[in-house]
Amino acid sequence: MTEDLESVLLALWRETLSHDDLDADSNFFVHGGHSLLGLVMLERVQELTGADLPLADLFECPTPARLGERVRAATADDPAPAPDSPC
Amino acid sequence: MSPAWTALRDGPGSELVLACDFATAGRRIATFADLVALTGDGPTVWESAPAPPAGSPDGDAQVARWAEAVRASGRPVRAVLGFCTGAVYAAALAAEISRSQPTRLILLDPEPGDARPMLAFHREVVARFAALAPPGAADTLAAAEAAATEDDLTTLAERLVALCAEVVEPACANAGLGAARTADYLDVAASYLHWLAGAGSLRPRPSWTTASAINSSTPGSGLLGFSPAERAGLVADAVHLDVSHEDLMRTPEAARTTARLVREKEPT
Repeated sequence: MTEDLESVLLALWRETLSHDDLDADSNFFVHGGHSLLGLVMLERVQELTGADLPLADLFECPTPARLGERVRAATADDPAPAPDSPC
Repeated sequence: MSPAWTALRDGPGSELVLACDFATAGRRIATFADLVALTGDGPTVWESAPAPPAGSPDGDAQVARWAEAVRASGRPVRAVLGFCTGAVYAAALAAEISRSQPTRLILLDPEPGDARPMLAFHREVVARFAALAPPGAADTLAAAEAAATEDDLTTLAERLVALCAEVVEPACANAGLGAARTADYLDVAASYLHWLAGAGSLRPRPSWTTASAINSSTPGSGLLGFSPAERAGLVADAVHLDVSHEDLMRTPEAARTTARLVREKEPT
């Protein structure tokens, strides 16, 4: 994941959860996130990155660093096969 | 690999550790991914993936789907783990696997399959979405409670999916979300509710008597949800940790205990 993408996602985490003290490993659901907030944030992820991710991706990869891998896979010109690992 | 399983860790050798849980419902409660991350190196761990909501598979069908994928892999199963209601599925899966090879059953906060977590999930949905839904959305709580007294769990799951939709659809529309996002969420809700309902059709107790349990200290969670009389003999042995249900699987001591049991417990 590029540093720029991680910065974009981290900013979204902070904006959505109204916490400034989050980092790339902050779990969305542990820091006050829930499903409705998650749906709204995935809309913003799509606006900013072009990646249309399902909610399951956020459940499985609830940190900026881990969701970034899904964004990168979804926006790659020649996406790799789905990974065996969750993120 | 089969869509019935998600790999949480690729370890050396061919042995598998199977973990039963529904981790993709969006929750603060720690998951097997957290637990495995704390155990360092070890055998390969696969976590059960939810069945698609179409067809509303019952408990036996869920277990058959996972067991078939394990059989097809041809790999030996070192242990089967289950968390919360997943302990019901872990018991059924371990019983199925034990027909061809001995294995080990390890449970974390094991709980029976019944209506309580289904109603709790519906309450959570209402709590999260009602602020953006029309007045009266919370009225579905009474309807859910009524349905739980009258319906079998599969029928209850279908009823709760419909009641969730009454709140979620207008709330998502008011939040500016499209139909696809709304349907995505309702699919997750349906999959989870049918997974919970399916557990109610399984009979885990015979396998649980062979299991080792790791229990949190949250009142009413896991073994603490059973009366003292029921608890006696429910599992073969239990370790009680002074940690909440929510944090059990992100606690190093739980991870160390799980790893020790996977390594040392006698198979049955």
